[in-house]
This record gives sequence, C-alpha cells and structure tokens, in this order.
Amino acid sequence: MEEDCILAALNGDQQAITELVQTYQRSVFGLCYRMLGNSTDAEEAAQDALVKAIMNLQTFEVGRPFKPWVLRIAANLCTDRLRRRKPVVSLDAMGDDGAWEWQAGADISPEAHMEHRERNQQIRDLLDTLGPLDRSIVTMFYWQDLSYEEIAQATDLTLSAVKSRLFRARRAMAENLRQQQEHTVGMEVKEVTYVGRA
Amino acid sequence: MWDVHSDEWWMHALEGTLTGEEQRVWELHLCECTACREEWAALAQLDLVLNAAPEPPLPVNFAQNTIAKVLHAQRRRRVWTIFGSIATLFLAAVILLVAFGPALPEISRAAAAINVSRDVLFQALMRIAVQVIAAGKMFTPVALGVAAACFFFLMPNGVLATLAIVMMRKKQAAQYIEVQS
Ligand SMILES: [Zn+2]
Repeated sequence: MEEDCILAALNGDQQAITELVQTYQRSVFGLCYRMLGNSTDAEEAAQDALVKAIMNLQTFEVGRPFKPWVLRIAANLCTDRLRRRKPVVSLDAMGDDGAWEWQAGADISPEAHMEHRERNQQIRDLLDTLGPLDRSIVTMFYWQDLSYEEIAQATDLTLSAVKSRLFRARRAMAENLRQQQEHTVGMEVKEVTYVGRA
Repeated sequence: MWDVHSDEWWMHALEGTLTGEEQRVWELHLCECTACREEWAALAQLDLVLNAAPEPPLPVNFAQNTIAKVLHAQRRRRVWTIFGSIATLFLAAVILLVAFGPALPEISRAAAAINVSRDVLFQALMRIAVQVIAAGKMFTPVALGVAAACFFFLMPNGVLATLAIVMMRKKQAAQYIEVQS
C-alpha cells in the first residue's frame, strides 16, 4: 500500500505526493520541533525535509520502512541548522515562539495550555544540553516510536552505538532534570518506580 | 554477570532485559546504594516528563504549503532539465565544430568520392544482372544474389531511377556509336 504510494509519487502522481505529505507531516514536524526548539524553524526545516524526500524518492530503497528514511533527512537538515546557529544563542534564550499561544475557541482550556507550555519549556531545556545527534536519537526514541534498529538506520550508527549514546543522553538529561527540580522547585526528586519501555 | 555500575548493566535494566536473578540482584543493590537509587529515580522521572510531552501543534496549512513547495521544486527541476539538455547539445556542437571544423572540406570531398564510386559499382552490378537475366537464367541464385546486393547495399537513387539512368546511358552509347559510324 505504502510502496504503491511511494512509486506513484516517484512518477509525479500528485495524489500520492499529497498522501505522503499528510502521512508523515506530524512525525517530521515533531522531530524538527524537538530538535530545533521553536515552531518557525521547525516549520521551515520540516517542509524542506519533506520536499527533499519527495524530490529524491529515486534514492529510497522500496521495501524498507519509509519513516526512518524521511526522519533521517529531517534530522540531517536540523543538524545543519543547529550547527549554523551562533553558539551564544541557546534554545532557552530564544524564548517562546508562539506555537503554544492559547487561542479563544481552542480545544483545551487556558490552564491546560499553560501547563503544556511549561512542560514544553522544560523539555526544551533538557534537550538543549545535548548535541544534535543525541538530540535526534532521543527524539526518535521518545516521540517517534522508532525501534533501535530504525534509529540506527536513520542515524547511520550501529545498534550498539545507538544504545550507548541514548543511555548517556538519558543519564545526562536525568541529571539535568534533577538539578532543574532542585533549583527551581526546591524539592527533592520524587522516587518513582521505574517502568521499562514496553 | 556484569558489574551493576557498568553502562551495560544499566542499559539492560532500563530496557527491562535483566534475567530474573539479575533483577533480584539489582533490586537489592538499589536498596543498599543511595547513588544508584537516586540516579534510577531520576531516570524514571525523566521518562515520565518526556513521555508526557504534549505533541507540538502543526502550523496552519502545513501540508498545503509543503505540497506547493514540492510542485515548485518539480517545476524548477523540469526547467533546469530542459535548459541543461539544450546547453549540453550546444556544447557538444561547439566541441564537434572545434575538433572537426578544419577538416570539414576534406570530409565532404571524401564523402563525395565514396558516393560516386558507390554509383559506379552499382551501375556495373546492375549491368551484370541485366545480362544474366537476358541470358535466360532469370532465377539462378547468382542473379538473385546480385539483385539483392544491389537492392540492399548499393542503391543510391532508388531502383527505378537507377535502372532509368542505366537504360538512358546505354541508349546514349548506342546513339554515339551510330553517329560515329
Ligand atoms: Zn550503586
């Protein structure tokens, strides 16, 4: 089904191109958003990634999963953007980008919106401590539901390199979160029983 | 069994792939070691925070704008393909002209000579064919072979035109002999 769609898009079928964009827009935008930290940059990067993927479909190996392939393109574009950014400009310093502005008539209440915004800021601060490659690995693991094998495909790393980089990134972020909570809230990290990833 | 403080152990613990015995050792260690317990709790807290992250809302008209960009890129690629083909042809023509330009008169003279000799050979072969036919061996393989060779390989002006030329020249030769006598 997806293969047919990819082959049709490769032949310039506009319906198939629309279907591909609609299917992968959330994943690609989500990855770019988590990697770049703001909606404006993420929108540009995600569009560039989808355009690049569709214009280079002839290099895609039909039969392999499409999602890691398209996310790999997106992650590479985001990495380029992050490297071009001036080092003094941190994600935190960029402030809010308006993606989480509450609007009248929105599905959720202003309070829930506020909570989303705070959580999002916290996640941005955590990801900001990681390099581009680790940021892409963490994003693919937590929010794109990719397996270790698919992350390895998307990042051109070996399976063991993915596992070990992910572990170190998680450890660094956990430490950062602990410090964040100690400093801002002034309370100790609540002990919670760890439930492994299903 | 590995060291409980090694990365490998922690990775297995996080993935939930410790064996029953290892899991028991691990739980016991967490009770005894404050550093590991705190780090384990921090990792669990991190998972809670990250898994509860709200999905970022898609910008308005994201798909439409992306599709418009794809169409624009496809148009631009088509234009560049056409432009590239024209430029390549032009370049090839320039290269050929530079490489073979000075030899052009020689080439055309050689082509003319080849054409004339083909014509002469064709007429001779046609004459042989006509004579063989006239000798009453109309369907011999030799006659057919010569005719086929003439037809396929040496026909410069078309069969009828060439036959007409041969007949005309024969007539002219007969007239010339008549005038001479
Ligand atoms: Zn310990």
